[in-house]
Amino acid sequence: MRSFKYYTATSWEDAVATLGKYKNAQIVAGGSDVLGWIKDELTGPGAPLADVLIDIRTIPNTSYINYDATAGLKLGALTTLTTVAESSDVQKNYPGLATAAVSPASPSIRNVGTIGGNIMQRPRCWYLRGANFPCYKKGGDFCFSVTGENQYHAILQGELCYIVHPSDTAPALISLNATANVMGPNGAKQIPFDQFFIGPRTNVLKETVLEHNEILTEIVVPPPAANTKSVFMKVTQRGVYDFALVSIAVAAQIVNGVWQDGRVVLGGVAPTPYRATDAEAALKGKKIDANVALQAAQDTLVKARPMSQNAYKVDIAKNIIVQAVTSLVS
Amino acid sequence: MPAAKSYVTPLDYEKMTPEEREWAVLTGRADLDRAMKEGTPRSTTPPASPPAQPSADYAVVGKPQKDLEGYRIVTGKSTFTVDVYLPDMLYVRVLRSPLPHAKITSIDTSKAAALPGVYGIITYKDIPAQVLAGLKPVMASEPALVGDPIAAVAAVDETVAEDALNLINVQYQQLPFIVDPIAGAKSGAPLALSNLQSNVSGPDFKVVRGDVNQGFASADVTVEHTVNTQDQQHVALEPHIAVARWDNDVLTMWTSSQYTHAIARIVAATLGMPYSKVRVISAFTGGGFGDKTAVYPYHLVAALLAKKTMRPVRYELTRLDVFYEGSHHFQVVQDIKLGFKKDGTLVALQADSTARLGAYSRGSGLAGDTLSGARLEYNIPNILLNGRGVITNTSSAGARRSVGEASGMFALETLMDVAAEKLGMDPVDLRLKNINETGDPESKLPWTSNGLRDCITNGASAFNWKSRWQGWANVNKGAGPLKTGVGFMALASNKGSKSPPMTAVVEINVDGSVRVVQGAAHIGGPQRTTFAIIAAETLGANLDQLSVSEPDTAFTTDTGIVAGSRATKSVGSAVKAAAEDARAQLLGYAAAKFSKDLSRTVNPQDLAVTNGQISLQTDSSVKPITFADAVNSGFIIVDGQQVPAAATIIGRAVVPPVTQYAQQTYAAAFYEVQVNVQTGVVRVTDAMQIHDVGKVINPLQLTNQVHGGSVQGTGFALTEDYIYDTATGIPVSSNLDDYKMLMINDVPKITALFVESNDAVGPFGAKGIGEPAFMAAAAAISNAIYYAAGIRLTSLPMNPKRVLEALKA
Amino acid sequence: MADEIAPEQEPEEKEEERATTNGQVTRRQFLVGAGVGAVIGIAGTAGVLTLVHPTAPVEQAQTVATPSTTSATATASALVEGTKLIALNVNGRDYEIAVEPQYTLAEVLKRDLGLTGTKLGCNGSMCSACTVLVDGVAQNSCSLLAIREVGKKIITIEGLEQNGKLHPVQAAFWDNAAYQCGFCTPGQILGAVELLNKIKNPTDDQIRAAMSGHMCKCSAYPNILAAIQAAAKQMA
Repeated sequence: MRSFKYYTATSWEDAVATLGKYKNAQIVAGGSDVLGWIKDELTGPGAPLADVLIDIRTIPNTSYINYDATAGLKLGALTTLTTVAESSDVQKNYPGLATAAVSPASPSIRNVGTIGGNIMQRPRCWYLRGANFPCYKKGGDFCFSVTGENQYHAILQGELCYIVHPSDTAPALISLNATANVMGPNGAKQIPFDQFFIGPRTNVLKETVLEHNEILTEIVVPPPAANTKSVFMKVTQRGVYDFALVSIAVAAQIVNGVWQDGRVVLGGVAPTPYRATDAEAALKGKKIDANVALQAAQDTLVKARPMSQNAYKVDIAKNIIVQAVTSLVS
Repeated sequence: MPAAKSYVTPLDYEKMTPEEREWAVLTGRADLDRAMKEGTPRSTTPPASPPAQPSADYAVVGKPQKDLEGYRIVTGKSTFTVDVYLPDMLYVRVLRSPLPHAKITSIDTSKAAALPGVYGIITYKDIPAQVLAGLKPVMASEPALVGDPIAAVAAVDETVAEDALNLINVQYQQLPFIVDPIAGAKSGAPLALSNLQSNVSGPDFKVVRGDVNQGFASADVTVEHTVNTQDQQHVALEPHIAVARWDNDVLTMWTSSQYTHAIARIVAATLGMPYSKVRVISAFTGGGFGDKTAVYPYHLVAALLAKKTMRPVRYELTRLDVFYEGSHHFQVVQDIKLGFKKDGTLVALQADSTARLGAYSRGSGLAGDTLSGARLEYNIPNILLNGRGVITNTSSAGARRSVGEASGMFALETLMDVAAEKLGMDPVDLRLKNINETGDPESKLPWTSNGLRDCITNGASAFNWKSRWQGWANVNKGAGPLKTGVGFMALASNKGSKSPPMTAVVEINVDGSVRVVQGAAHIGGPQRTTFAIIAAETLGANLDQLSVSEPDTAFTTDTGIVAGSRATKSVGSAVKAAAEDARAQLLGYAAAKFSKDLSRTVNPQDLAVTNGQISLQTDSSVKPITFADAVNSGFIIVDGQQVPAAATIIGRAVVPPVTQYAQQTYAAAFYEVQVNVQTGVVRVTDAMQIHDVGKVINPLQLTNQVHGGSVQGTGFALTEDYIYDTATGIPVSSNLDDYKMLMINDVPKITALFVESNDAVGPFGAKGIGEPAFMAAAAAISNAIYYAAGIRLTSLPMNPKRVLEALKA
Repeated sequence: MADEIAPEQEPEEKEEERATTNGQVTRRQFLVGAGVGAVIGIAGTAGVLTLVHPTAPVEQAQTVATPSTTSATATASALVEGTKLIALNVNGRDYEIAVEPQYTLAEVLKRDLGLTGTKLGCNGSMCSACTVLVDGVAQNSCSLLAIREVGKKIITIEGLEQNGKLHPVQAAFWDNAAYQCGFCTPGQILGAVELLNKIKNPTDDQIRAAMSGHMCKCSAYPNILAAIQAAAKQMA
């Protein structure tokens, strides 16, 4: 691995200030993705290789799970995925999130990988991850997937760049109407996860609204409304240890089989976690059955613009919406 | 067998590289070639085939035995090459070409050389023209694939070496490149290397038997399809690595290898050194699957940088380096056509095979290898096979567990399933009607043994095929999104041959302990345990008396490569013969000892050896003696005469090749799959393989081999795919996220059953297993997918994309 | 900082090295002058400066897994550039070792401490061959920076055998032929140890879930499953 400097932060403010001081500094939590990036020397004009790593695991009180019925769930950004997945509070009140937290990567990665890191991880597009492709996301002027091997790429909202968002927990958090607490040079602020992720058109060099010197510090999930059910599903080629071809998180209040209100969020289909508002609209006030779910799926996927090799993902997305939605009433 | 005259492209040894010659021996091509050139078969009489001796008759053979090296493996004390760190050692990193084809117009390493901690750099300018790794440049001046080595840096650690690589300035002139073998074979295609006349490498491999046109004209039913099997990398978990150290003019190299002696031989020849001055060591090899059989640029990089810096040098390839520089199981496109009589009798086969060679493999041998099983598995009077290799700007093709045979068997056995449906026959019955149980139709030599019929019938019964497969009317009959189906395949393979070199030494030491000296890689068989079992059984020794040497060319015999499923049969034959030699001597010592103790003449033939005890068969009242007692007696009886002798026994063997028989291994496979027609995901839910292994030597480890082969074969079928971006020629799935290998969750119940056909030339009747276990998966899975979901998939891998696309078509 | 070694504990040659490089000791300068001896064929010891408390009692290997993974929290900010002397606790022994920030725990264990039982298959968290236990939790040592692992109890494959007796998981892997080439085995075994410390009588599915990141290209998976079940019975 290339050499870099290492900084131990003592507080969020310290970490933010240090990020401001070094142009090519990056924060490191669990480290799986950050170190992989450096090892593979993925760099370009818009993606300088990190030369300072700022350890935020040295900041006190960053790993915790607090739940109460009125305030909801608070997750320290450095809480490991294993801890989140094994938390009885999470399992009981947010089963979709618990499943999403046990879905990424492997146990030994989830043992160090943090919930914050899972949300902030960079996409897995093989052009982005190949050192020899100077693509948009590295500051280049080309997306190789458009004329290339795009079997895993975006079917929705791709423009300029056709990555898919890799996180399993992000769709779950959006479905649960969670909020990000962020520390920046001007102090703390809250950003709903619904508005946290940005597409390539907004800024192709990053996937979230956070600036270089802003850090995700805490995840807040409101207490589940009465009659809320949530689910997370993921389609992968291998049985485990695989990024999603398509994933889905659904959280909804369902009374007597009728969808009162809820969210449907897809992963693996678009450059951001994809909030399927068309599906939500189609489901609202309906008694859930396979036909209603299929209508919701069709309303969503009618907007799909598959590339030369990934039309099959449209089918998967359609089918998984039906499966996930109907599972809430079965 | 029909009397029709056959033709098989003869081997031109003059034009073959040493590696190709070794490969021809290994794959049986050399035997076939010799037999064809001789014209008259050395024998047409099948071997007398008594049933294999039951394991109950043996003390050690046929019983589950733990790995002799297990303690070191489970405690982390086994010394793989990656565990070799030497004092004062330097670490290497290699700059690799970002372009699939280019000429280097300038290269400047001065800034890198000036970096503190950098001790040596080499580029093509430092490498004499004749110094090649096989056909690969050690450092390329005209890189012909992404990842061709451009410059290598030796530094105090890998970080410094990587920092240095970033200071090397290379200017390239881009050249046209070719990735697709079909396009590359056409005239006018860009040439993969500027010194080529054509990308098609050498004359086609060709087999002609009978008259294929007449055959198809006489057929009632004809079936054909085109099959495209993918490029794969082996991903042996221990990365390729070489550690080199010079002591004056002697080069010692530790490397993760399947064949130390070949590495030593080729490195010595390449560097113009005496073979005796190159020592190669591979105590443990962390997986190979065919990828660690050759000399690669990295071997010479380590040797040359160690020489240049006069310090030990270690080059452990990164996983990406392995994807680039390692061998690849080649992509191959096959058109195959079969003709049948109404009753299912095969009358004609035509197959055409185009193999992607990558930049530095040559010839039509690999393409020919995909066709070999089709030539031999069934009785077919009329055959026309054609194979060619096409040079491309991709990583080089090479051996991988079955070489091309797995691809060939996939093409043939899926088409047999298509034919069975068209003929309205049970696929099992169609195979049984046509299998070739006699011998090689071209060489006319009889098989050493053939258990294919038993493999098929035993398997069908154990799998309960007759009730799980419910006729062709029930294809795609399941309700709901999860569709279940079963599939079947049979196979013949020319791997697992007894082939030279077969040499070994068995020592009986002063204390009665026994050491087997041989040079075969320890790579998972576990080979050393197998050889210990064979030696112990032959000698009548207890297994705990045995130790087996680690591969080290300074001390061990050349027992040939551990590949081609040959270790048990070939090395095992040598070990058995050496143990027989040692046993004869031991009995001579023991006879002398008994003669002295009993004061009467005792002849060696009066003695028996069991459980480490030598006893007088003619007189049970005489107390048996131990090996140590015998060896220390000071005398040996030779031809009835007492001769003084040293207290050590050296048994030796050099085993000749097999010339009077043709050798094959056989298997049948039954798989059940579940196809999710909503997601396209296929899961194997039940797997059974039945192998003709001749004789089971160690059931514990043999079953383990079948498990591994089945899972790897399933990965070939369902997930593994090395993909190139065709626009740039750069591979994209060159990491373990995108190159998807199966994990523990993907593994169903796997049943391994064995047929003991008692091979006429194998040790205790045994033959090989490694490759057939891999081959016995993909076609059965494809056939099961058809039965479950009504889709015929002929391109691999059969991933969700292909499944869903086929369902829509 | 708690993990910093007091200067007076540093050996003299270290001081000299530092003096010659303007306060920046780097591996490159250090190794140039250091003719470090080692047994050929086994790991060298380049980079190990001192071994303090060599007779410290060996920790019980079967540390109960703690649910979270945290760094020792910092009380003072610090920027490390070049070499830093740190203390690592591995298999119950304390080591002082000079590292640069980018050194992974795996490379320090293997290259610098001579603990070569840990294996690197991909060096990218994708195969889990390099698994070690950090405070009882299975982690990929290829993706841990050694400099961040100060103050934790690290157990490698070498730390499992106690008083000449194999850990039940080690014995079960041997008995059940739960490997072929044996390269991924140390990581597999440590993954299984973590599992069995957490769950006493795991179901097959729990084993598959816990072992799902451990790649075995030889694919001895059925026997790995059987071995872990056998070890669970042994440990119950």
